[in-house]
Amino acid sequence: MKKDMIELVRVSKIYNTGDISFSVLKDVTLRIKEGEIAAIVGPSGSGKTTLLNIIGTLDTASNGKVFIDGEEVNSADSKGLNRIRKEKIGFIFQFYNLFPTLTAAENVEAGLEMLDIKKGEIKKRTAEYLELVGMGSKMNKFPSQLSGGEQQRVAIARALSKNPKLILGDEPTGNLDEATGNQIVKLMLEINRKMKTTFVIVTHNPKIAKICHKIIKIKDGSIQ
Amino acid sequence: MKKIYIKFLRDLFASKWLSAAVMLIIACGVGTYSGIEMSIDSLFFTKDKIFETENFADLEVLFMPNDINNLPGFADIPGIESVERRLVFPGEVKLKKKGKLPGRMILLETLVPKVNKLNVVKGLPLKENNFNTVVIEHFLEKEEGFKVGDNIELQVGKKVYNVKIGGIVRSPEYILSSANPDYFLPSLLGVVFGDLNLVSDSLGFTMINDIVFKFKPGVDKVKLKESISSRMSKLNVEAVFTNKDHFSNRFLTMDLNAFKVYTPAIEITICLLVFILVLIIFNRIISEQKKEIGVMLAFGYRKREILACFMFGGFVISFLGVLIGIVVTFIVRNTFANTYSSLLDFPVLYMIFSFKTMAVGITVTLLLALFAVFVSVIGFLRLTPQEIIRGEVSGAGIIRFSVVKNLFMLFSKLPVEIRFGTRNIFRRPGIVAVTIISVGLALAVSISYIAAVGSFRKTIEKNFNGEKWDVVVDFLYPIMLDELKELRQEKEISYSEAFFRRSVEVGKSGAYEGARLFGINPESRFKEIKLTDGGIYKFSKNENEAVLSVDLADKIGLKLGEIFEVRVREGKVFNFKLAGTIAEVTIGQIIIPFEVARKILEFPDECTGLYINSSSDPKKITADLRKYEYTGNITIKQKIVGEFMEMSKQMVKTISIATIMSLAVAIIFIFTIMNLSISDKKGEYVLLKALGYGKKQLAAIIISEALFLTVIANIICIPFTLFVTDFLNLRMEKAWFKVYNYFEIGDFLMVIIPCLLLVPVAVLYGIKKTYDLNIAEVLKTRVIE
Repeated sequence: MKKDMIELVRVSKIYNTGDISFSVLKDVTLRIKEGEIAAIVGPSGSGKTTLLNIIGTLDTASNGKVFIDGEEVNSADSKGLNRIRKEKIGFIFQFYNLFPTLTAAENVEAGLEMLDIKKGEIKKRTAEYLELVGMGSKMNKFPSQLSGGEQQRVAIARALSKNPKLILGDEPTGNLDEATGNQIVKLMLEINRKMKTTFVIVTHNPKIAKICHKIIKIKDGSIQ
Repeated sequence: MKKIYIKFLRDLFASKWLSAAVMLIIACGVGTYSGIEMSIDSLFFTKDKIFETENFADLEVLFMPNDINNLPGFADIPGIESVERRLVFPGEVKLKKKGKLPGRMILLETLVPKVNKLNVVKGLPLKENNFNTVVIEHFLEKEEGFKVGDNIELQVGKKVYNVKIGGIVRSPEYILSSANPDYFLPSLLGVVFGDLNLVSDSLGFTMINDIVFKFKPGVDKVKLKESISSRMSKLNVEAVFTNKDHFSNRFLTMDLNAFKVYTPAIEITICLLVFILVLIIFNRIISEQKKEIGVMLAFGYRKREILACFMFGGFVISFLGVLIGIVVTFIVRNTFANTYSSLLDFPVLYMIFSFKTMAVGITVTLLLALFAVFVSVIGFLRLTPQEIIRGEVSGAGIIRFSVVKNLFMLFSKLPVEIRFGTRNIFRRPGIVAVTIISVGLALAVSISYIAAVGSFRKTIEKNFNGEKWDVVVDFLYPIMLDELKELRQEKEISYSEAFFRRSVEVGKSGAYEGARLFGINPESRFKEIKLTDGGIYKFSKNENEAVLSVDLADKIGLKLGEIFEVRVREGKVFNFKLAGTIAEVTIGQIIIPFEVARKILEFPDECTGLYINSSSDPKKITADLRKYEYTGNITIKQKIVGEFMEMSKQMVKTISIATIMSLAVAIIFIFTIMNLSISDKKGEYVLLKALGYGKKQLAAIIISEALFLTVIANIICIPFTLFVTDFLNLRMEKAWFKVYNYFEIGDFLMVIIPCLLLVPVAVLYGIKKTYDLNIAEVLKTRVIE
């Protein structure tokens, strides 16, 4: 039986702005298995990105427990959270967030350099993953020389290259036309099939949600 | 190198103008400190080197003229390398054009002196058996047009000498000359060197009144001076100067030290501005990259690794700034040293490069810049990754204060582009406040330098105007008061007052400093003794009270009320109590009552000079005074004030380099802040362009914003100027004399007007950037963000 990659138990997130506090997530409990592709869907302001950020340890829950790959993250200090992100999680963003002054290859290498990997291995992996996402021929191009879809492919290669168990995507196709978006989704499915990587994707696109193994619907901070 | 470091470096170089501003301000910081310090070191070194190579006398003893046969020998005193005997007379040189110039005739026993060498610039040196031919100091050629082969007329007392010029020379004694060193002011002096036989022939015997000594290296100079003084105690010694006491050396040392007084203000200000500007720029760079930092944190990069990246980037940019700063150092050093050297007409200038000064300049500036980078990054990294990625509501663009809103109403009649521009500065109150203060501070330093020199000039003017004399005559030797009756009754002289001036030594516990004793009438109508504590000193009945120049009291380590010693000729010592200190232009003075001075110096019926009141033309009085054979220096107040004014003009020239540096820093600040502001408002500028705003209107918005900011900085700089000028004048008091604060509108306008005129230049790049903005591209980016 597959183990849980993500487990959230009665997680809440409350933001305080001056005297006013508002709840973004309310008692969220969910499980995502290893190798699953899960889509988080919901209207704007429903708490999708907050949920993704808490899973990605970019933000902390106000209440409740969060487990990533069996490890409880609530009690981890910033060093511990950093380690979890470094070893277990890869991120893909809506606007790709490639470093504009680094080439495609350098962007991937930058993601690998803080890991304890030898230089030769970094080069090898970079080439391998860029090849995997179909960007092998454009590895020396700067982001401004690439199309949106190509930039997102590089971002995926960057996220994948450190072999994370979990990849989190915040609207990874949100900034792409439909055809390019479909290509990216296909790529993610292929990677999931080949490498058994768990994907959690925030999306507005029902077509993408349908392809996923699991759909988490969220509204007003609660799972539906 | 790790890719992430490469990324930060490329990012820094991609934001060209931000990096350029950081590099420039660091270059200014390094260059100002190291350049000014090295230029002063170079000038000090040059002065000492000239004295060394030209065998400047270690000791000079001036006494009342005596027969050469009555002089003691010095051959048995160990440590003396050379001794040369001379006859020195003050007088007047008749100029080629109309008028006369205070002069000095120095008649030499050794025609090619080893001590105080005469460096022949043109013509020939002095020759034996040709005593009607003289050589002249180069000033007479340069300023008054005397040439080799010309005849020159020199009047000493009543006697007129008409001699031929055989050569033009430079002497280390007269790197700087002074007609009357008692007023401690360089002034044009016609110096003529000749053969002692010129006078001996007419007198029938050889008269000497001056001996110069050169010591062997490594001797105990103080001990040697004591031995020589005691050997000469039977002569009527007027003054004993070590090379440190000599006017040229003393004035140059004091003047260069006075420049050192001014330098910390600009150094501290530029250091502060380096810190602020780097802080602002790096804050900006970081906030522009917040998404990328968020991505890095999401990757698992640790905050200290990100900090290291920024510190590395900061170091590389700062290092490049340092390299430019090294070039700026040479420019500042050479400009400052050359300006000063040419104003003082140094025969040569040796440039010094001090690794230590350079290292201090580089280290301090670099550390400040890196500290600013550290503060910027650490402040940002305190936020959580989520806060960094999401960003915070900055409040930019929100006007909170009703006062400001009311102020806006004042501008409601102005054209819309000017309203837009001026209101912009209220949208980022923090950064704008820092900018205004920084620009204000930089301008204040510039103005303060000008105001400090103005205060210097006005104080001298006021001090001299406070003294009621018009002319001072110093006699060649002490004269009985009875003998002065005729002179004092000259019709040009309405009132006169005698004084006694002589060189003495002042000290305590057996350690002495050379000083000029000044005995004046306790009820003097001419001279008011203004104490450093602000009061006016009145001589008490206790005749053992004295007032000392503050520099002298400090050198000896005397406190008010303390007893000290005054050593006069023949080694006699008298005790005095320190009743007060003065900070006058003339340094190294001790003032006591006239009668007491005459008593201790054993000239009970004589005086050495007169203060004179006259409403006549100074030329007429000079002519009257020259009738008397004992007349030495004649000092005309009007002329001396004019010479001080001339000197302050020269100070302005030298100081203007520091002023320009401060102004440059202010402009770099305006350039940076305006470019930041333009980058922030890209969206608004493209909207304006989309609405049909043309180049003129866009330029008007930017210029009005920059001008408005500069005008406020100009207002802010006023209190800063008052404070910095006061600080500079206080430091000048410590270094030389008490300078009162005087401010003129012109001092402010001299800096403010160029600053306002430079504002459009500072924003030119920013204006061009707005012209080049692509409407579609920027709007697209804005939507995405």
